[in-house]
Amino acid sequence: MALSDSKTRELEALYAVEASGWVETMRHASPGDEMRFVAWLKESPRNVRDFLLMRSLDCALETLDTERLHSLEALIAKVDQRVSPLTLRPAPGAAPARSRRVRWAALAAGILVAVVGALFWYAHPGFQGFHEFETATGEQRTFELEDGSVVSLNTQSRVAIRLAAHVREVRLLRGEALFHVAHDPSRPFLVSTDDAVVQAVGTQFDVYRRDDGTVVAVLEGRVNVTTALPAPAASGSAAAPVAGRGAPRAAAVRSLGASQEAQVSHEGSVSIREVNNVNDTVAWRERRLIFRDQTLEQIVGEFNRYRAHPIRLEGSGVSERVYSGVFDADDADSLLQVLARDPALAVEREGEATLVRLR
Amino acid sequence: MLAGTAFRDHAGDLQRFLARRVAHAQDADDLAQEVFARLLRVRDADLVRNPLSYLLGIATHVVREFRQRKQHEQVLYDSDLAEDRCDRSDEAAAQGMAEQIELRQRLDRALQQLPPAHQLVLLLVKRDGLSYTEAASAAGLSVHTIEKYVVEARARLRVLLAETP
Repeated sequence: MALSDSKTRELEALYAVEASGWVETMRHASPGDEMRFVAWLKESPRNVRDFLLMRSLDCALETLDTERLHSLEALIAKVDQRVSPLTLRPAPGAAPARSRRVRWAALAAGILVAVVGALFWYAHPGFQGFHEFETATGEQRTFELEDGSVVSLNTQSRVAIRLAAHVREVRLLRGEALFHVAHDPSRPFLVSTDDAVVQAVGTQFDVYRRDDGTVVAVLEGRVNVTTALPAPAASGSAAAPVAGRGAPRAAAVRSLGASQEAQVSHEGSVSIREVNNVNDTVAWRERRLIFRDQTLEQIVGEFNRYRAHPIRLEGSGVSERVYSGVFDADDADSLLQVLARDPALAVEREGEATLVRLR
Repeated sequence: MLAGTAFRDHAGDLQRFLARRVAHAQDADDLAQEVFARLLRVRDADLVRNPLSYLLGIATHVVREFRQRKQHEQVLYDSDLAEDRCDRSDEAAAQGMAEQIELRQRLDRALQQLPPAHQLVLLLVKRDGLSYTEAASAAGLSVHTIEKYVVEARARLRVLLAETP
């Protein structure tokens, strides 16, 4: 698929979500909503078009399935499956594999974010030509850069971006971002964290700045990952690569293709693995959290990125329990309900905090 | 011509016009350009008072002119403001039976390409006419999630319909 096609499609999808959101808002609009709606309409004829089309589609939906061929029960059964744990395994004696990060899944069609309407939208004109973009807890944001590249920021994330004559430079200062890079061989697109620099010409990839390093996942095309610092001399097992593949050496350059993921530790070690389900890689765009055999500690950590009041795990034996499941990031109660059904666990509320411990 | 035709709700006419053109970007673009130009001429103070009715009213006028220009269809109604609701009258449905059926079939094909949660929520809210609160308890989801899924599902359908004319 040509990049321009997939990018166009992605933008169409983003516009569609925005227009659909306005149809929803205008069902019971406050005066403030009406003012914002008018401002949005006056931004561009395309907004007018998208809204009118979306509204007529909304009306047409009232004639949906008039023969009532679809069974609600069958759908409810499928949906239930999607939001409950698929498996619960007893906690292994040792700490579980650390290479499992929350999988974000790529659903090109579904794009569920708070969309910024303005095409060239700059938050804070910053130092040395960098412009910063930021999302708050639970917020997601997608915007297009002047070169046509599209950036989606996950919750609690911050980037600084500079588009210069010979380079397009992004610093991921916090959190996670998905980049859909417009093809431009004369201007490489560089994304840096403290651990690594990712270089692309035109492609789609996700960068996640975690407490313990940086994770780069490629959805489409190729990128080069360069460790930011020469690795220190091997300093015992603490610095060993997580998945045991590829020992850390000075400023390594590794090439990543589609469906591959690299984890770069603070020490400069790089481990690369194949991602079986590339569709999971950017599920966060749909605010969906997907876990496959992950510890409760990891799961709760991901939920807490979206929450003002974190869920806390207390006591021993809780963090290591392993679950799989698909959840709505906006709906932490769904996780708590699932956990409450686990006879081994107690879920308690203390003011605004939520505690989970073994019974 | 039926006597009732003159009272036909022209909001429904706008909907049919647009629904048919989901896949015909050029017509919809031309229409939107004209509606946009007229919106810019309306005083904000007036516009903000009832933006949806204004928008639909203007769009209805523009559709009428568009048809006259193209001489595709005769226009049998006039009014200053479009109704701010969907037109569900039998007569309106009978007016464009063939295209109604075609649209329904396309919608149904697109519906089946949505994730189960989106399908479920659309059927509950749109087909069965449940309120969000009722749909939430039927599906075992929160009201917030129902609303979110409606927004997402509609957007996906729009993209799917545009891709498969």
